[in-house]
Amino acid sequence: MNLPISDGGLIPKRRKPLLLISIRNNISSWLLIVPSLIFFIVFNWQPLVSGVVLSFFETKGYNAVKFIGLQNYRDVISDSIFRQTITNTFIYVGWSLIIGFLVPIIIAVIIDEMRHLKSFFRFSVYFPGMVPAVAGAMLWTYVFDPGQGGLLNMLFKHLGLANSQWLQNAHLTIPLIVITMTWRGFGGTSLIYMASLQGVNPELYEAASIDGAGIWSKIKNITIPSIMPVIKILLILQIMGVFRVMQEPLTMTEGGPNNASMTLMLSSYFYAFRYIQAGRSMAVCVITFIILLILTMIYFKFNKSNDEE
Amino acid sequence: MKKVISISLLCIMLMSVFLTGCVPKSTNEGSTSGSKKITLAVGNWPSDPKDQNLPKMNKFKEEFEKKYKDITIKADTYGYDTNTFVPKAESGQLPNLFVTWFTEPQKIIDAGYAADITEYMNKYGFDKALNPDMLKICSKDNKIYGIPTGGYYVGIWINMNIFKKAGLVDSNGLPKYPKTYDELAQDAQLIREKTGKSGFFFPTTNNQGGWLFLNIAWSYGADFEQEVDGKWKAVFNSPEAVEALQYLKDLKWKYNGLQSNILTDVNEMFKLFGTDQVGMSFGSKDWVNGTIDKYKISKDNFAVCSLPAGPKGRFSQMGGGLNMISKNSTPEQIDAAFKWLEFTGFSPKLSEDGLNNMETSYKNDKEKGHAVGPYVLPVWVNKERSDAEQKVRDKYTNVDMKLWEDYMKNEGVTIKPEPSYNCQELYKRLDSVVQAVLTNKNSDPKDLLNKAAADFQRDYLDKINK
Repeated sequence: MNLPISDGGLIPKRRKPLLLISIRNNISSWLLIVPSLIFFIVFNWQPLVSGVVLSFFETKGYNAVKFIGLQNYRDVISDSIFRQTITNTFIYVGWSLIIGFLVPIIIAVIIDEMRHLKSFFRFSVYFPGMVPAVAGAMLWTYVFDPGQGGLLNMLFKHLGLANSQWLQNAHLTIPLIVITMTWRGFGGTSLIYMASLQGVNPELYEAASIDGAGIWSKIKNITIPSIMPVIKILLILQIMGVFRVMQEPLTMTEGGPNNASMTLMLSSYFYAFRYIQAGRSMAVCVITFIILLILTMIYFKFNKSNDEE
Repeated sequence: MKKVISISLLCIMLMSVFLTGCVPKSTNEGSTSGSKKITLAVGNWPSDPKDQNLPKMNKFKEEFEKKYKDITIKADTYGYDTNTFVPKAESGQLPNLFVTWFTEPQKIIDAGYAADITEYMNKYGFDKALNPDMLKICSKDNKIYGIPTGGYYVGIWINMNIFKKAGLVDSNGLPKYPKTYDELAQDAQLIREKTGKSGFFFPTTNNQGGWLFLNIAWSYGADFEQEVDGKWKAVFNSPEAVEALQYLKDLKWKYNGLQSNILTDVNEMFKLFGTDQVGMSFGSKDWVNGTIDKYKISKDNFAVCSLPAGPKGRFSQMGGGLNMISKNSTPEQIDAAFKWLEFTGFSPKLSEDGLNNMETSYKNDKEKGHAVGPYVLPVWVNKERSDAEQKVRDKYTNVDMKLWEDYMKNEGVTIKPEPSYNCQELYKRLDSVVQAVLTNKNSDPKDLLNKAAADFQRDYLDKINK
């Protein structure tokens, strides 16, 4: 007598069995994705959500103690070195685009054109990528040592030039760190470009040759347009990767001199591990995430409108 | 149907493997209800099989387990490191008994990673017998969270090989110590001219630049935080602080007395000092043996003197090490940790076992070529205990104590505690300021300190004043 009867109430009753039937019919498929689903929940989504939640709490260790709204964000943003930190992070991205964006494309095109030793060079360019980031950064620290025993300074001495301060020169710190990142990272990117170049139709080059096109003309009119989708996606991946730079400045300069190489992620690392302020650390991470999200959205918006044109 | 069952079993198996991997190991194993056996994980256990301390520690473990049949010692090689501590603590992987140093306990207590051991400090008589100033560093809100194991004040390490080469030794072969900071700068310059090596080392990263700058600044009459009309103020932009920073800048640019690589911490100093690449550095007794082990420098290459005088006197900062017990330890494990300390010779009243094991430690140090003999800031206020240890130490002394005399006497030096609030953040700000003057010849110490003090006031002290 109290049962609610309505048309709306009937719809879910019809849908539920359908869903159950669908699951029952594909039970093996559903079961197969369970491990992956758990893996994603535990290692990807749970930390992500926990991090965001933690950024709104006062923390004791990594435990949320009290909800404090946006206080962690206010503390982090009002910190006197935050502005410099965020500017530095954009400068890293800028230098990485200047120094590191074209290198893998050029290397990939050169290796793709090679007739001999192609495999050797493919391995060689990827080799620095196998060095762990911290080990690579320490290696470069010896190269950039500002003393007379520094590798580059010894070279300078042979050439009759004065010693340089290298990483200790606030104007050079970021570009030098970007060079080390490029050295370590360009190999992997080059391999992706090389794979992409394999997919370019050779008949296009043949046709261009018959029409009298030169090498530059072929690269400009065939190679680049063919691999443009990959270039676009790697551009956004590079921006996202460099924006999260941490290991290199941590190992090489600790963010110095005078915060000249401090980055958002390094700042987050210091909050988390040096000062055990998990809430603030997470707030910096969320700010970084939002900036990257906005940059990516802008990129895709421009990209979409270009494609439509 | 068979297919479904086999897939279900496969999934369950995968999930159980996966979830088993996620369960954190606990150092509480063996202490669960129903079992009387207690497992105590002891940190800083020697990790290198060739480490000469390893047989000694294994012997302690064996004898201890024989004496306390319900306790098993689990050797844990984890040594405190700011980069790894938080993940270890959060995942419950910390050893029950771990070692850290005086700059760390307050943040560890605030984060809730250390157990309250007040009851056991009282039970074993540690609270009355330990140096109260050091106990204060390990306490919060009248609760004790750490056991200070050794204290020191900052002095100046002298590399005897370099001092001899630079002609900075007297007719008895003793080093001519710098008595003032000006003399230190001149000696550093002389070392550079005579040997080509760096005269003095000053770290600037990992908050150590700020930490050590305090010693110089105090000697110039500077202070860092002051309470004025009930409000805390950052006052390290005073003319005295500017003068101290200018001194450091001159040490680099005018006297050419510092190491070339500025963006480094004391680990670099250990390397340079241990390989005869630097003549002097801020240092302490506690850092000597690690440098000997790692860089094979002779204990006789060390001379240590007290800190030089600035225009307003001589001041030095206190440091030291302590044991803490991880938060997830059971009361039985905490009790076992105190028994272990007592057994190894660290207790207010020395038992026969304790005395024997302390002697074993000193004997072992001597055999390893460590510097045995020098000692500063006793942790025990109990004279009987200190005398007993001194007697053992005298028996194994292996260094020329004249090379350490000035440091041990520390005459005329005031030992100062850290500033009251946000020390680590203050050191970080000062690190940046020190980096700026040591990497940029044209930097202005006054401008840098004005900005740093204003920023520190706004970022931290103003929040305390609210």
